Amino acid sequence: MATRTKRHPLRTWRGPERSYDLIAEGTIAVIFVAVLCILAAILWGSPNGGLTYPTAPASPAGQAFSAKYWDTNDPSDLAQTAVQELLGGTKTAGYGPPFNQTTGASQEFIGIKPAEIAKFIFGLTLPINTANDFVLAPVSQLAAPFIPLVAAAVSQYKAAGGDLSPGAAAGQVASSQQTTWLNNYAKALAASSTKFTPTSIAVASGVRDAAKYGPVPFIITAELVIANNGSLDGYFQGSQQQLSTNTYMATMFFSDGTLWPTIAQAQGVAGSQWGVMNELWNFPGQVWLWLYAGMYQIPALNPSTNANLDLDVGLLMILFGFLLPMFAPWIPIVNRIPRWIPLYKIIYRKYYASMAGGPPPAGVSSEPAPPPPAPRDGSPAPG
Amino acid sequence: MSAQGASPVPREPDPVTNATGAEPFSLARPSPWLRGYLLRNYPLRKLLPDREPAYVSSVLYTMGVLTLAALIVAVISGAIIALGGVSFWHTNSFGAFMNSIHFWSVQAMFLFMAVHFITNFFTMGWRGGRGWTWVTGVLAFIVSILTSFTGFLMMTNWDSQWIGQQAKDAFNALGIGAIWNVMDAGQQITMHVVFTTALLLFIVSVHVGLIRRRGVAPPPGAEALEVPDGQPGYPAGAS
Repeated sequence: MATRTKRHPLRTWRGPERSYDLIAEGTIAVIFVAVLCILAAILWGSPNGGLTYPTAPASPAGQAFSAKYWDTNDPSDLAQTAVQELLGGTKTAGYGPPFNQTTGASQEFIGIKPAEIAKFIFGLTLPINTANDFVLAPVSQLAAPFIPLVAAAVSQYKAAGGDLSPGAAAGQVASSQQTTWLNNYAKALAASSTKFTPTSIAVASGVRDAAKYGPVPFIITAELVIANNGSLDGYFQGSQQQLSTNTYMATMFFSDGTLWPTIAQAQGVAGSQWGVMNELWNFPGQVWLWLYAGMYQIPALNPSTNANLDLDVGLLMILFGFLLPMFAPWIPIVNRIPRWIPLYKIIYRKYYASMAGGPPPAGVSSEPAPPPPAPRDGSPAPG
Repeated sequence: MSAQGASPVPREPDPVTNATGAEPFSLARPSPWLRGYLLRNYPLRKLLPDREPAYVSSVLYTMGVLTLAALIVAVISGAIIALGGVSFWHTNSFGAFMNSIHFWSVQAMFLFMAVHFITNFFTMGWRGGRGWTWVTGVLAFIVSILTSFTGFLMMTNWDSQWIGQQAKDAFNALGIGAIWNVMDAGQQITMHVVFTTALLLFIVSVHVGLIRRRGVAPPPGAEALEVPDGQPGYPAGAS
């Protein structure tokens, strides 16, 4: 029976060596990098400018976007967005899984829709009903108990139909009666004659035009009021049972407005600018995501019209950002690139120069090196 | 140079562990096998060397250890921030300073790692049975990206809101968003402070272990000077 032989896991270099110490080198490296980072921290700090941008009010360090900030700085945007949430006409309402049942919204590649597959396996994991979760439920809880007009308005609105169940499809969120009220009111809010304050809306034709707007003006004004006094933020950050750290609903609501991308654009971090590669002003961000961010700019992917852009970029990232580098040593052509562009000859130029007269006998140093220590492990001492 | 077919050299038992490196695996008593495995693969003379090949004397070869050093600085500064809680650094000057160190250590880590990565590609660092070293290095790079990404998502400020809202689309398109909600600050804290960091440290440990075991790849053309242990004249006894 033949003896089974295996490749020995260890190898020893028998060419020229030099003296060094792993622990000493590691310690020096940690001290060097620590000093470098401390110096950078002293000189430049780190990005935490909150919502600071040109022409914007001063923003304290670390400030997050909130309903109160939104209402204070752009009540018109908040009011118009709230109307669209009731109508089911926002990006969130039309998003599809994992937020709602809206069909035809999931991105696909050769007919495969990963988001739908995930929904089939896990269900609708982050259900949002834009009308109920962003407007009606908080207004019902925070304003209606204390303001009879608002309570009556909410009752009248709910009595007019609409699907307020979690994750309802965009087209089911508002009934035809509600849609009529909302479209009329949306038109009124967009009129230049309409005046906004953080707690009031003055529509030229009068907010009490019940036939045109129904109860909608009372609900939207209440939304502004609870945003202005901060209770809407408390609602979004809270939970019926726990202290919530999951703020996805608020983020989705805020991002349906126009102030949200305006701030990003002004700070230079929008997708059409530096995106996630950049932080506020000139601070570097996740620079290492250059490949991911760059793919969104590739003309061949039709970034402006491609409805499946995120999926296309995601799949390309799996291919070029993961599989290609991972298996580069075994991919023909790719593994020949270092031979075609022989940078290694520059990197090892000293070694090759020292070996110009032919390699020295194994174990013989060709460079000045301190005397090797006495072998302690049974292997022959180099040099 | 392949070591396939190299004649096994009889070993003397290691005087400390009494292992020879040839112990068979046994479910009932795995310890002797583990002692033998560690002796065979990770002798102390490889783990804590004081000699290195002369060709390693290059600033490019410091990029690996500098990446590791930056990771250590990032972990220490990150642990200090985490001790204060997820938001305290927004209002506390010491926390803000630690955040700055954390931020720049990550930037430094990726800079050093990128140079390390490119250097090893152009020196074909995968040669000589070092395929797993390359694979674990790429894995470490990818998990580093996930770790820094979740770090940006848990900052509890506008930046993290914006990045999460932007990133959700790719996650949802791929179906991952159903269970990995990048707008959930609490989930990102767990991902960053516990999961991805632990995974990264594990992968980096394996990567460094493989480098210590195999050593760095010799210059192209000098492969013959690298001798597998176990060949006559190189029994490489136990440390």
